[in-house]
Amino acid sequence: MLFPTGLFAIFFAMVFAGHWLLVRHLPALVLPFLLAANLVFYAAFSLPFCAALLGVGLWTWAIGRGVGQGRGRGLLWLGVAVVLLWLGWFKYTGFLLREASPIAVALGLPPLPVPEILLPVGISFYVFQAISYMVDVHRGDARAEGSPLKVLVYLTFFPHLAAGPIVRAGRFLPQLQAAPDRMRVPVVMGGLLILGGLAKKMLLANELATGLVDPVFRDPGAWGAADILLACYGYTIQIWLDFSGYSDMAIGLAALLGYHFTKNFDQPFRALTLSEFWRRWHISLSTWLRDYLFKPLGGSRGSEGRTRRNLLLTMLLGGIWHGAAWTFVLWGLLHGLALVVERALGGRAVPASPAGRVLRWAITFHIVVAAFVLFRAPDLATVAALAQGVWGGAPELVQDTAWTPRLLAIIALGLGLHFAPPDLRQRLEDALRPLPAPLLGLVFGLAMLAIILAAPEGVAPFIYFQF
Amino acid sequence: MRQPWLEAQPDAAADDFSPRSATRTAGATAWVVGLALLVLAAGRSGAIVDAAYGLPLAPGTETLIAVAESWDSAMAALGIPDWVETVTAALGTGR
Repeated sequence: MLFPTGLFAIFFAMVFAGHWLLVRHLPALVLPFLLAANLVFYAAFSLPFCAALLGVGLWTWAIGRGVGQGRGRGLLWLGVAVVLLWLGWFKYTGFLLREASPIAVALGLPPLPVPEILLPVGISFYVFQAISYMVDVHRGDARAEGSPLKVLVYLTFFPHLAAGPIVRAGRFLPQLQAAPDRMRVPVVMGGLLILGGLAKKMLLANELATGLVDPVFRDPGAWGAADILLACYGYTIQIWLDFSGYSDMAIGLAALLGYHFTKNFDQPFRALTLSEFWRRWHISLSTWLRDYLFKPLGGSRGSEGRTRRNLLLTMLLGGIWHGAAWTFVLWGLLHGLALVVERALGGRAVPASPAGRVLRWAITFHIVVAAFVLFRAPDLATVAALAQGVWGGAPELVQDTAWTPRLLAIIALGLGLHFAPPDLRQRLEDALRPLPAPLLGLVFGLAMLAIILAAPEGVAPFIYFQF
Repeated sequence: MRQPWLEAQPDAAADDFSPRSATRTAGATAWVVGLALLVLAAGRSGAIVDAAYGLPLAPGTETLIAVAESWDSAMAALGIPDWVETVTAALGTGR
């Protein structure tokens, strides 16, 4: 059940009405109702995986309870290891067997069978949240819940279930201690986030994907150097539009139900350094990696050499988290190496002169673009073909379909949205604040309708659904 | 305190929520959500009929199809599909 569909609109309307009615009349039933809604949402993707999700949730709760009763580090390790094995089975078994098969053949053994394993939607996200709960309880940042209900609602809450943001147990569980205050719903902010997210995804990201990025990455040899470069920049904008659009919608939907998710993207392409980029891009993942991986590895407390090792390892594992492919390994490694080099050159300090700042921005941005080529390419052969197309291919445009005025306008609009003043949404909110509720509903409805009518037919899955 | 993220947090990290975020009651929010969905349903009445035709055969399916067709006819009587077609063509310019 994708957010920008009619089915989801009906589902959300029912959940919204049921939730606030229960908050008013039967607050004790709010959490059971939310859990049921979350499971219906997930069952629309897969019923068997719904049972598996519940199993992970119950395991997480049981481990948290044990850890909370002082059974310590051993139980925590067991809890984390089991959910990581769960993730590993679905995500990495096929990849590892495929890679090991030629080695087995070289050793005179028969080829290894590679099973077709379906990846449960959102597994990477809910496993990281499960780890967050167990570790937060161990650290004392979250309370060990006596009943599994709150932990299950936390893990399965539908706005973040399929593709994040990764919500921290220590931040979200306290919100479930009491029903939200029905007198304080940030509806203008929530509505603007949903509208903005819808526009980013339906209007801009989908059209960039189908009109430019997908055709070039599918067959790089058929395109000229300029087309390939445009597609590489186009994908960098597309993935920001797609993923930040999803995050905005998730934050907005949760807000309409009275719950809070923290910001997940903060104009990442404004970053002057790579470390700043990671403070602005997929913030819920980068802070998760910092707090649950980088710091436990030793962070930057030890020698410079150990800090660099920790940085490399964290980014490498961050890359592998995204998917079982060499392209993701190299993506993580490239970011890790670039962060290490930046640190070694003292590059985290921002230059004082405007020219120095522009140069620093350009370097950072192009490292990000180059890394996203690895992220988007289905395999290393495609990366090689793209590189060959840029450096060795025809400099002129082989095909001119990539350069339609509409696509260029979409790229410009995407960049405009990204580099808009940071307080633009707040200003829009201030402008809409005086409108009476029915008029506000009409404005939001007409804007949503216009976005849907302007968008290409169909709804392409969000990029982060595959993770 | 509930919804504490709507209170001032001087040294908090960047967040979409702020003390300036205007809040309304759940009842007023229901008006906003309900009317927004109504506008969507009006503009997408043809798509709703198509979706109803695609439903699996089950008790109630015939009723849902009849409701969807009635809704679409009502919207057609108001001239909404023509308006939607004009807007769609205008917004699709250059594709």
